Amino acid sequence: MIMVLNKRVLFLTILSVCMTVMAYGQKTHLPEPYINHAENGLIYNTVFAYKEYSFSGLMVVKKEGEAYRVVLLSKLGPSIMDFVLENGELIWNKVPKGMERAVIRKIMARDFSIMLLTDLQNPDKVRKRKDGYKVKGAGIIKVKLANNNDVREAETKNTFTFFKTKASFFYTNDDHIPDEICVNHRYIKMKMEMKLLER
Amino acid sequence: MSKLLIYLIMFPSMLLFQNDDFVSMKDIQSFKKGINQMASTTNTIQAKFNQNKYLSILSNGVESSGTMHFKKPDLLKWSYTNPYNYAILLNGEEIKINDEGKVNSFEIKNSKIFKELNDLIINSVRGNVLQEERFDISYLENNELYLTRLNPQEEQLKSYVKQIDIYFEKSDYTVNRIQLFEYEGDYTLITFHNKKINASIPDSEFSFQ
Repeated sequence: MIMVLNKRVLFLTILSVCMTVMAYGQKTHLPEPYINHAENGLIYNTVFAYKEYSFSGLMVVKKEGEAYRVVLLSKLGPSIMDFVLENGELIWNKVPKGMERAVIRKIMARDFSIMLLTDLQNPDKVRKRKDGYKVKGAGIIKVKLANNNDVREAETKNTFTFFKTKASFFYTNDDHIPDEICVNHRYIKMKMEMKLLER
Repeated sequence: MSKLLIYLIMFPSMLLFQNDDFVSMKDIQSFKKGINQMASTTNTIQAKFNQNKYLSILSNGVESSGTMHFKKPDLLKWSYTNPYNYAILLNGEEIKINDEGKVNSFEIKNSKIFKELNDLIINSVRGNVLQEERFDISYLENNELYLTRLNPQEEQLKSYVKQIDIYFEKSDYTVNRIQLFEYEGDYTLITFHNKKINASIPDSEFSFQ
């Protein structure tokens, strides 16, 4: 009887150790938001396009504690919009007229969360899948990685969401900061193209 | 007590730094006359500029540079050439934007804020900005420069810009630099150099073709 119990305890102990090691191994190799590699923030030359219309400005992104600050500057200088993303919520500091509506705020919160990969900050939300990672935030995001663990693609995977967002990340060196980012929407001709200004 | 002492020592120097040694202008009428004279004899201006955007969340400013061309009565082109290619052309009725070769144009009257900006830029260069009723204006000077401090009175412009400082050279009344302040303490400083007054500028300069 004691022998059987000891074998069971030994088996459970080994199983527990293996699971801990596996989980640790998985978490240490998890992708993380690229902004973690830029404590002074990043500036992207950004073009927003909707159908045949387009507008460009400078997008400043910076991590502030657990939150992400985004400021869009006109190329002539003054800032056009300014907000903070925290826990998937967008809080306006400065909002252009006509963009105060809740639906716009919700769409922007999701688009910018994907663009900034904010949900990767929390390892508990990240699960390894066959061809990448699945991230559970306000919605579900599927993330694909390059060989060096940099994120090359992030896409919303909610089955019943019509308005799907996909962000592609392009790198020209090994600093883990994307030099170009492109955010597209599956059924709507609206996109955002970002090119990193020299750091 | 020591904090109070430090404050008493620091406060005057902070004020001095903030105002860059500027004091109230002694002869505002003479300054206005000089500006009007300069504006009436100036047909074209071309200059290079450096733009520095100070943003409180960034440790370094965002720097850009380019050229500015103005031709009477209302042709104005700003061309940014570093670190990106971006040009904005104003002709009184229309705004054209050339963004890395892609040109967009729209009528100024359809955008109130662009109309405000157009009027402000054109009138600053022409010297008419001091007659603007849309601003509460204060007049300052130091040994080398005149400073006009414009506080917008209209709500729409106010929502973007808190204060505009325009610095004029005392020697020739041309604009030395413009500083646009926003509410969060952020500002844009545009400094002009290599200014050429009344040099010939062909109309083709104000076209993207």
